Amino acid sequence: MLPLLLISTVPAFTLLLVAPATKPCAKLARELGLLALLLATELLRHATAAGSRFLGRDRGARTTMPAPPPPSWPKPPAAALAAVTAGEAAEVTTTPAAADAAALPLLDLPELALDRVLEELSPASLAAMACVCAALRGRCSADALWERHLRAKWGRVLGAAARKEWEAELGARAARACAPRPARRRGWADSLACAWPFSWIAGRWLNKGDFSAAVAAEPAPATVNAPVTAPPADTVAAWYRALECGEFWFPAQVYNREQDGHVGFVLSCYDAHLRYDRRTDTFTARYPPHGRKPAKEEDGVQWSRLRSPPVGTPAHDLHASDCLEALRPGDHFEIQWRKNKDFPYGWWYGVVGHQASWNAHEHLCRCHEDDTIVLEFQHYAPGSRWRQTTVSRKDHRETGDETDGFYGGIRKLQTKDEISTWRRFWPADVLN
Amino acid sequence: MASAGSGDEKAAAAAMITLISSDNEKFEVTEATATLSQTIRHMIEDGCTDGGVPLPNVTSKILARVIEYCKKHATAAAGEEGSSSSFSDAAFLEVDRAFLEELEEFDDAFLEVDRATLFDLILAANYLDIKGLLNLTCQKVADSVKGKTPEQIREMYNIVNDLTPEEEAEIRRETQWAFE
Repeated sequence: MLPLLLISTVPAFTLLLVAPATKPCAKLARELGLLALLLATELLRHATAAGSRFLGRDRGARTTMPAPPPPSWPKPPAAALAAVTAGEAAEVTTTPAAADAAALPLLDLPELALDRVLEELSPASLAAMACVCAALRGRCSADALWERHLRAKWGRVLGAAARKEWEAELGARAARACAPRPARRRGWADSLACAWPFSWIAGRWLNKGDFSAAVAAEPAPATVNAPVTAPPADTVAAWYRALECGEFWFPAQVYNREQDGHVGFVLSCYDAHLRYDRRTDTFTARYPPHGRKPAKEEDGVQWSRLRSPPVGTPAHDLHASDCLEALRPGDHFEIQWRKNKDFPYGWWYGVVGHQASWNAHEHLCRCHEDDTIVLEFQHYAPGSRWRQTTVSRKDHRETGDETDGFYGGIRKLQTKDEISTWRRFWPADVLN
Repeated sequence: MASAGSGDEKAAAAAMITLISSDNEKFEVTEATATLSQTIRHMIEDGCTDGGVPLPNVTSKILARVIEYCKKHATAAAGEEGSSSSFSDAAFLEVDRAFLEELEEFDDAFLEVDRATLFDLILAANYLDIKGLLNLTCQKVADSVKGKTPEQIREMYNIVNDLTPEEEAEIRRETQWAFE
């Protein structure tokens, strides 16, 4: 049905494209025509997809039918595989072989049971299973299956920003795929045409509040029906692969950046882009440049030094503090700090302290009523200029100078988990 | 199957249910054993088990195995319940762990079957809606493909490779990472 549709619409499309666009009104008419055509094809595509699912006419259904005496199909050798052209796609050489009596119809299992089997597979087994046949290829690409693996392995370090950048990456890939088109003036309808294949993807990704909102109900019919030249990059499986293979630098934050070289980053957490290395099970971190200094890269960053950004504030933006009224002595917090205004912020861990006047009588302390909040960084020695600073409870925005750096937005640490994670990086020696 | 036990079930533990296999063999089981199957549980709730429960999809050979599984797991569930009141916490944990270990050993031995039987057990677990048995048997199938190449999986389960060379090349490219 889909090929039929394409065959019937392509001539019309071509006609529209070659129609002379000399007069502005003719051009407008052409673009309106294109728009109408796109809308119509999209509508039909959805309708046919739904229809074929409904009738069970997809490939998956066909292959799960009890097959006649199943011949075993040897895998074509790589050379032969490469030699085969697109035209002979449907032809696969077979050699008859005696049916294996012990072999069992995995694909004839009830849906629920096959799903349970697939859910139990590791990512590597799921990938191997996807190569077995068309039906399994479709099923093993299901987002719901990969969501579980994505969450299990990557959930802790991926945040909303990572997802957003992955979507942008998909968009860029699509744009690249669209790029080699005839050089003619691009109208808005053309731009729309370029964006069109992703209209349904946008719908799928943007609706996801979190990973758990998997589209389990739809086993990605496009996976099976998509044209061979365009792998479906919008799937969770594709995201998992991009992360796993280090093809995608994702945004996250790194505790104690440049761990080996710099004592100056102890108990901080900096934004970075990270690339996974499967071989070593570590990451390469790329930190945004500090002013005019070149961007820094650090290899061998362990999983334990990563976190997904707890707030959406970009590294160069001041975080709006919403906890100033609530901060009490003893509260754990992290605060933005930067050396000068051209640098990105890092987050620094500290604990709210007491005013000097109350130190002796902590039980009588009225610090929480004071307009000044004392911020302490107790891993620095008393007397160190990094040991303590104060901010205004009423109107703190950014305070500091070129010597001591600038203290920005504050967030109160809410969970024991967050606090204990910070405490894990507590230095062995007091810093000066 | 700790979740399977409830108060009224214990009271009705003596009630017997007759299950009839596809080849007309009759099996007498306690209600506690039978209700590990959600399908049979619903039939009991609907009061339509008089004169036996016909199971036209399950042979006597498979039904016997399924009942063996249900008996063991129903006993384990009842044992856990009984032990919780009469032992101190530490002793209870000890007993609990012993139960679990024994159950695990039972499950391992239970799965020592040929693949045809395994598949029949899956079909039966699915039809009778016995969650624990379905999980157990499906896990076994999943374990069977662990570390296997696509070719080996095809061979094991006699699956026809109906991917076109282009499709196969593409999916191979996409999953290459898993084979490195």
